[in-house]
Amino acid sequence: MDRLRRENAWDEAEAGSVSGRCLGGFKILWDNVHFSLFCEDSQDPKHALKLCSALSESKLNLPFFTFGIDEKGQYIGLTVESELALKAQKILDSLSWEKDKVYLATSRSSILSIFPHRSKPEIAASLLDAFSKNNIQPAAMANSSAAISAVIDRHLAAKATQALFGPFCFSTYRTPEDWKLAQKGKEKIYKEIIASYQEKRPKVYSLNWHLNLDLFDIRSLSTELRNMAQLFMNLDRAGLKLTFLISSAVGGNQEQKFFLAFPHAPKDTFRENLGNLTSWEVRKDSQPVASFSMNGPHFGDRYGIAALLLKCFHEAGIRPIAIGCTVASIMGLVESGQVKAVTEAIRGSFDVPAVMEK
Amino acid sequence: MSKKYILVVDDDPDLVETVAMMLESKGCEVGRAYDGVEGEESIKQRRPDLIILDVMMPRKDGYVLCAELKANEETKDIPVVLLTAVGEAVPTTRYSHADGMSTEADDYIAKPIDTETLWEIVNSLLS
Repeated sequence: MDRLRRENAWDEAEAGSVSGRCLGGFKILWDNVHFSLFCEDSQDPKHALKLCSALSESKLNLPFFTFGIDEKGQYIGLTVESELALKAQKILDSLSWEKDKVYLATSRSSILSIFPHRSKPEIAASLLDAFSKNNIQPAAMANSSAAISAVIDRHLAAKATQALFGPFCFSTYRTPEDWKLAQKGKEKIYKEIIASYQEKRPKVYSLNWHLNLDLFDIRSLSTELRNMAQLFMNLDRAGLKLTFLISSAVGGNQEQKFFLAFPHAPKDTFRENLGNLTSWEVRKDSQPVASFSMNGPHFGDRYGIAALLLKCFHEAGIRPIAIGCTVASIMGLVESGQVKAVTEAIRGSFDVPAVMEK
Repeated sequence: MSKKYILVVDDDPDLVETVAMMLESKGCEVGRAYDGVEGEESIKQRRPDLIILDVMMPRKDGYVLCAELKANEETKDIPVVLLTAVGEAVPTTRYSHADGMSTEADDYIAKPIDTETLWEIVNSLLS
């Protein structure tokens, strides 16, 4: 009964005005290879640091990167351009993973980003529902300050762009054909511009903090996208703002691990809205967390950004809970008590002219 | 005094959000557009007090939109701040610093700029 009521609620929302889902646009990076790693029984972020440092030394751009740790291990997702995949694979093979059990999945992928999400879970809900209806299972997801990105199978990317034109409207391109015309000729010039950024200390516009957040991590089957979409829709109706989102495949692409953060709610709105999705493994961190974001020119495209962040954390003894890098931002989750230390560590490695808190 | 309305036009959605967050914290109202054509349509619907305009954008770039605005009697007085992502001039394109300086924009800034400096520029042009 509860399930029926919730499904009806979704259908009512879908039948309602699409104006809440009128977006500025979407972008896609077509030819990439995505690597999903799950390092079981490993809580040491130095693995991710070693990996990102090696990729950075080889000047491999990382258009998408996620990292998360829980008590079962660590989850790393990274994407490189197809032509650089062999080089990335060699780096992965050359790293010593000690005694940890490492599960690696590789797939030809595209990165689809929609914007702006305005922190509304409804946008993530509609995206996941569109994927679900078209049998598209993202290998990984991450948000930036404005965008939500999903790594999807390369062969399904064109279908995914078409699928956006139902649940979403876009102010300047009304059909997939309009959008294709708008993208023509952009990739080459972007690559030249990305290559022109070679600063020793990457400069950001500002370091933005969201304090006092609740962290939830969820492990669900990859086939349960519609249920995840339903959860996001319920949370939107409950007034929660989605501040941080990453997901990563676990053990091939059978399961997804989500790290989600919302502004602290006095009652457990999240669990109230889980409804009958009790088969999922859901854990709420007992301590509040904080999320930071930094936006810099082509941060989600350039090599070295994730490596530099992990390095400065390592040197300061900070253990991040999760990190996501996509579009032009790098974001992270840390324990609330570490905000000052994290700010100092970041300022030691990045050129940060301003710090803002929300 | 009514809030100043500033339009931010950039195809980097994260930058639009960062700049919007700063401007809203200073008491401005912010419009957002993600390419030159959307920016143009937005200006027709509501005249902004100032425009922050990216150079390289799909469909219509910042140079073209800026030139059109400055050639139009109705919009020529709107201050325009051009932002460029070209860290160093990219010789194979027309998006060099020299080209940017030769536009009629009221200011021309290379990214990344810190938001406080951007606010100082915006505030001085508004007043």
